[in-house]
Amino acid sequence: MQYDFLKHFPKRMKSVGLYAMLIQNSIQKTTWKQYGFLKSDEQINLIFAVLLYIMEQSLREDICTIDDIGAYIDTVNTQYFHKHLGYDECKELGDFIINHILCNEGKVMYFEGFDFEEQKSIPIHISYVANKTVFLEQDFRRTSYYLTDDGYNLLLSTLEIENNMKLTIHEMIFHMHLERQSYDKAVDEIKNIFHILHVQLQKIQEAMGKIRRNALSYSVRDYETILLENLDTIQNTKQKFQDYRQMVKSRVKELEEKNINVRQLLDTEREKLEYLREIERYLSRTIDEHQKILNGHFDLKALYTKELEQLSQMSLIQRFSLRTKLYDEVLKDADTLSRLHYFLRPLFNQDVSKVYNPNKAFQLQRLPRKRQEQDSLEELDFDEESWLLEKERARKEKLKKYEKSLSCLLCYVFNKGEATLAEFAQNINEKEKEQLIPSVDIFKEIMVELLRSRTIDLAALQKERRDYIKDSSEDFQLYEMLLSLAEADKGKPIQRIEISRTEDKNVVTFANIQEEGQLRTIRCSDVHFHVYRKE
Amino acid sequence: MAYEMDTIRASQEIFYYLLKHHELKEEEEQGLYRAYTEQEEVQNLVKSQGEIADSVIERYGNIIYLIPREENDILGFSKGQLKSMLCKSGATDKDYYLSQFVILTLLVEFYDGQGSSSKTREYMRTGELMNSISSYLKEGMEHKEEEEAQEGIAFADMLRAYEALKSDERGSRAKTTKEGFLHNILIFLEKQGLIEYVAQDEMIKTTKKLDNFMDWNLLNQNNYERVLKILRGTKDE
Repeated sequence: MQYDFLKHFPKRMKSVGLYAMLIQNSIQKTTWKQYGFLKSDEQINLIFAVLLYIMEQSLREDICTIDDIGAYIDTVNTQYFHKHLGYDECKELGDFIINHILCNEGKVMYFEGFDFEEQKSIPIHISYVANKTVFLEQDFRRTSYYLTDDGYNLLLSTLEIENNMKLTIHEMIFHMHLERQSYDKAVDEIKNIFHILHVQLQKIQEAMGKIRRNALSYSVRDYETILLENLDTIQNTKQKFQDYRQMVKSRVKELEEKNINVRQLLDTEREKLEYLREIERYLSRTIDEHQKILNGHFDLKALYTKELEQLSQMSLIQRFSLRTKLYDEVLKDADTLSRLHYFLRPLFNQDVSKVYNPNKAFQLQRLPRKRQEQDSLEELDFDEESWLLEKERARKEKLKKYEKSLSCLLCYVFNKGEATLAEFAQNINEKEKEQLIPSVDIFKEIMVELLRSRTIDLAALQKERRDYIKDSSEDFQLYEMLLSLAEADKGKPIQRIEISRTEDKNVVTFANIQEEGQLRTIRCSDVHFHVYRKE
Repeated sequence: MAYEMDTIRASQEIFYYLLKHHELKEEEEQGLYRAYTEQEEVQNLVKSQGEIADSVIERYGNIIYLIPREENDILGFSKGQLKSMLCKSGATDKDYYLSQFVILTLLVEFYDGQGSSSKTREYMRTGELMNSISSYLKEGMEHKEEEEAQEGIAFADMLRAYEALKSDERGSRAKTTKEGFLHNILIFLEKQGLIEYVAQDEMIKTTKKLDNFMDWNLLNQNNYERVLKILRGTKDE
């Protein structure tokens, strides 16, 4: 699966579905309005209050009939909500909450959750309250409601364990799994621990952001809880996690040594090793996170103090209201807008105008051409495929130039059998010259390669090519190109070519070569070619 | 009074930095910042230099700002310069007034609070800004109807000019669209370090600088004469 985090998705959807169905059932009902519960917040508050009552009754294994629920709502209402409802209305309301919202009129409720492993959505069964028939005194039958498993889970999840406890609990579980060597579960636990620490760090950062923006919007109580949580995390963990890391490390080492010295590891052991390494990785990250929390803790304290000090200064400032004192007045008279800039001017800064230094005129001025070229390399719209194609095309074009240049030279040499560059230079026309020297770089590279080889044994090269398979190369390869050119030659097979500088140190000049819009003259030493053909 | 050369140099350095960047943040230039905050002499020298440059040097939070005075056309923007920055070439007075109205509306939407800070919201989308501009323009027009036939600009004209701009769903930045008109103003404000403007998401957020300026300076009761001056309309302009 591409995304590992989607693995237990249906499980999560079950928890979410519990809330979603409940709210969905409640929010569309207009019956609420008859009882004066207009806001959905009020409605949901009441539903959960009722659910808690049912839970309480079920835990005590007491009977919980509609009458009981009605009485409960009546009490709660008169004491806290103060809606004008009599006992009978409360009972009706209870009936409505139980039967319409929680039990969906007895119809089964499903929440569709997508299972990414199975690649389809599966219906997840949801129920909050079930009922059974009970006998009150003297065979008087009534329906009693009790909470289902789902209902319990829903209510338990509304009151999370406290944050500091969470860490301890997860740590205990982690420890247990480690002891039992069920490393796969230990990995999950250490991930949880890491997440808890990470959340704590994020909390600190968010708090700092909030304080920076406006320290007053951050309440002292928030500050207190976060500080206490921080302290708890800090003292709790570090030593323990370091011990764990030591332990995990030693176990990894044990397994690794076994692998090297004793025997090949079994598959299960190899799996364990993998898990252990994962645990170690997470442990080190956890310790890092711990360190960051420690730092963040002190930063937070310093920041809060500082911002509060500043705020106490700021609160001394008397401010007028922008809307009533200015905006409303402006709305009455548009002419004021012509003078409004006066009010805004402190906001804007103008850059100081620049001064020209005449000395600049005497400095060496370079054309910014190089820079432009680099800039043009930065493709904004990047399409990798077309980019690669384009690159390939450019490469082929360049190779073509090499080939033309070389063939132009060699055709002449092959025809003559023996020739010098000076001779050739005298006999070529403009078009050939252009072919020979497409650019200075290319011409130079060809000549250097030729001179460096001195003797080229074509027969041997041919043999070599027959014996080995080679990938076509990206760059200019003299021998390969030479071979293909020699094969294209019509005369007797060429045995070898000898290339050398002429003795007399002549200089060959090619004038008026076009390059990048400029005319250039190329000078190079004269070269002597000798072609030996098979007799 | 005798000053140490080091003190003078430090103050000059700070002032030049302020000229270049308009503000000096503690986290970016700790040395200079501390010189300013911890040595009274340096602070006084910088302030006096600011006075000569027809500006005010103030520290709001942990940032030192160079604030040009209202009449300062060298470091601040004169009305004409502001117009050329906010409106595109060939703009009429109507466009300029409208741009001023846009900025003022933006400020009202953000800084309408009476708590310890005047800031009341975290962000605003350009669409909402556009809508509130037209509704306020209409409101202004209604005010005006009673005392018709006054000379000068009227909200009715501005509203007509504003509504004549096309509204473009695709967020075109052309001169003839509302989006384009606002875009130019918002970009200017962003360059001045007053807002963060993400054109892609049509997101406008204010910066710490603007928050500080509104709280400490613009809305400060001590600076209320500025507002009075605008409302009374001094004839000497």
